[in-house]
Amino acid sequence: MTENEIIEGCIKEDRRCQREVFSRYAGKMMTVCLRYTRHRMEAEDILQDAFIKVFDNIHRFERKGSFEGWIRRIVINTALKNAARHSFQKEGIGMENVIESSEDPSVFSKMTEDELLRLISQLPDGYRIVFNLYVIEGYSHKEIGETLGIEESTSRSQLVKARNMLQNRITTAQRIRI
Amino acid sequence: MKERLPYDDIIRQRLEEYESEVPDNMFDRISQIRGEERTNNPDEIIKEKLTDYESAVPAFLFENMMNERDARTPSTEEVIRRKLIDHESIVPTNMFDRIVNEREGRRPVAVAWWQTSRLKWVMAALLLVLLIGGYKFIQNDIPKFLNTDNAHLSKSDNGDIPVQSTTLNDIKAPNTEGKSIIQPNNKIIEEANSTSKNISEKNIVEYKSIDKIFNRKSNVNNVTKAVITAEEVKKSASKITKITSNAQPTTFISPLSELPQPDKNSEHLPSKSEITISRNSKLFNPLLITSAKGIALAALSSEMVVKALPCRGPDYGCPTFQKKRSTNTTLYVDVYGAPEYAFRNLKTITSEYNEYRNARDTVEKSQYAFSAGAGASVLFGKGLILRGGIVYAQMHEKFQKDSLGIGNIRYIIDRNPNTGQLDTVEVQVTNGIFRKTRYNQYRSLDFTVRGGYEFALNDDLSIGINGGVNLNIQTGRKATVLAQDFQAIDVSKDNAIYQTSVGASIVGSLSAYWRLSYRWQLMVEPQFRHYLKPITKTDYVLRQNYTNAGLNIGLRYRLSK
Repeated sequence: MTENEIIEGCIKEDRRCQREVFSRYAGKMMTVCLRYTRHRMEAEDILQDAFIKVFDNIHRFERKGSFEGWIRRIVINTALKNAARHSFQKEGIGMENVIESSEDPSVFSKMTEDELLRLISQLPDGYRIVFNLYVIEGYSHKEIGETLGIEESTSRSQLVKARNMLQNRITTAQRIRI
Repeated sequence: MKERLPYDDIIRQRLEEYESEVPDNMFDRISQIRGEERTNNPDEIIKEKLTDYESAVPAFLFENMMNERDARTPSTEEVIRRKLIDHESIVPTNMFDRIVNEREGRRPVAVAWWQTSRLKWVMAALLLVLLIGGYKFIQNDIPKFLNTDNAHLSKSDNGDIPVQSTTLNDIKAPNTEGKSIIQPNNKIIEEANSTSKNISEKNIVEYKSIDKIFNRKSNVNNVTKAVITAEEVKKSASKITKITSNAQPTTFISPLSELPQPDKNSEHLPSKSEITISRNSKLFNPLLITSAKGIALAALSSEMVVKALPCRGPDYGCPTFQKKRSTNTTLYVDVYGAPEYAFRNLKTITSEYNEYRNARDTVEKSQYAFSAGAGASVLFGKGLILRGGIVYAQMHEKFQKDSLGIGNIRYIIDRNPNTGQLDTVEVQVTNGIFRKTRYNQYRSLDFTVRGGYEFALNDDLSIGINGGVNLNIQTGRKATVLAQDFQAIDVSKDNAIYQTSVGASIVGSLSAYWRLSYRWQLMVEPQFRHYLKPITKTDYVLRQNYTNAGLNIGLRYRLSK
């Protein structure tokens, strides 16, 4: 079935087409959810809510861009809404004590995706979300600020702290291994 | 001196058409000179020269470049992004079901069920049947009041059956000398008396006006007696309800257990069992009489006669006194046959099989179908009916496919000039179109269970509405169809296309019964049957569904007395 046929089927509430959409994108979207959450259960809840929104609103998809991109946007928004409940914006994070450290990128290359996800999930909510939006989704600090309702400077500082924390954790992990 | 020499013309003619040799690069030189004249801008010249200029590329540059790129360490973030952007995590196996359940849970249960259930039309039909049945049940349970407009008002009865005009107190038990067979319940009578004062005047006015409407020639004050029949009660039910809606509260006296009892089986009243109740009787106003179809209230004539009618059985409104309709059940057996037409619906699971589906639709055409069945039914007192039985159904289709092949082979035999013997000297082959025609049969044996409601329109006709399911017991076929390679294949035996059982079908019908005699009834029943599942296997690329419409014609025999 083509993507258009699947979308048409989903609009008609065809269970087979809905399952096809789910099969195609659930894995990738689960990764997105895991990146924005600390626990797998929380990620599953977000994935469930997101796909419900996808099936509820699929008739609004205008087919101008990528279908996967549209789904990803819904998943990210759902994850952000979920994170907003924890009011991460109130976390007191400033530019002070920010030390740029540089870890050898090859360390990350050798890590598996699941190890990376685990590492990211250990970041505080604010760091994790900004890190994901900036590094993986490719948003600018201005866009992140508008999306999350925070200052651009806050976004920047959180990103720097997220990087530092990730590298510290990598270093710690390497020390433990040694 | 002559101006022109004789050779001038010759020279002119010779040279006029002569073409001299031109250097090969002359055109390029001209073009170059013209270009230089066009622009003297050095930038333009350089741009023009270098825009499409291709310099030599050192060998292995590409490999070197790619190796260097691979050796270059990407940024940390780039590494993370590349690793995670398209990574697929494990999703719980039941996640999709959870999403479906969650979505359905948010909708009202009825809406969710309606959108997903395959049995929705069956349930809708059953609900309709139950609603109609319930309505009729309630209608039958509401007391019906009878007054002069639905009774024959006459000074002297002109009916076929002589009316024995006796007053209530005159009725004697045949074997109890001197004792009235009616022994009114004192308590009830007291209640009747206590309300009769309130009722009588008001009701008389009402009855008078009604009498003027329906029987203008009658003068209610001169009426001496009213003959009440159950049939009239039934016919005027709506009028009675309207009249009594404005009447005063009425006390019912029921049952009149001492009135002559109808025969238990036939529900016939004993002959000459008419009872005349005088207006002077304490029971007269108001008086309740239980009939086969409901409850009748005594009219206001000076005396009321309850009269035995020729009775054709309990289904047609024969009067009964104590025996409540709700306790009556009537058992029937029926046998019927039906011409049908099968509407075939061939769907593809994906659009890539549309061509195949269209090809099958072209070569296979529905013809006709029929079914035959036998069963038993129980008609309950309130009109609800339960039917069961076995139905054999057969659908016919015509398969017709044209194909190109060898049409004729002509052997030309002649004397061989070499040998002098007779021999085949030529073979002529002509092609032809071959038409393969097969008459397909799809058979099924079903067990049917139906529920419904049935009510009598008049003495000779009752109608009903039924709905239910046919459970498939066995399915067979003798058929040739088009395979996916567009060749005809025989699917009469085990094959990859058809199931051996198709599960269930829903059925709905409207039935009409004409009374032929006390026990025999002619049954005419338009019906439809829709197969819930395709008759094709689940892994086949097409879904072949059927909906049949037909007319059952048969006989119903009453087993109950």
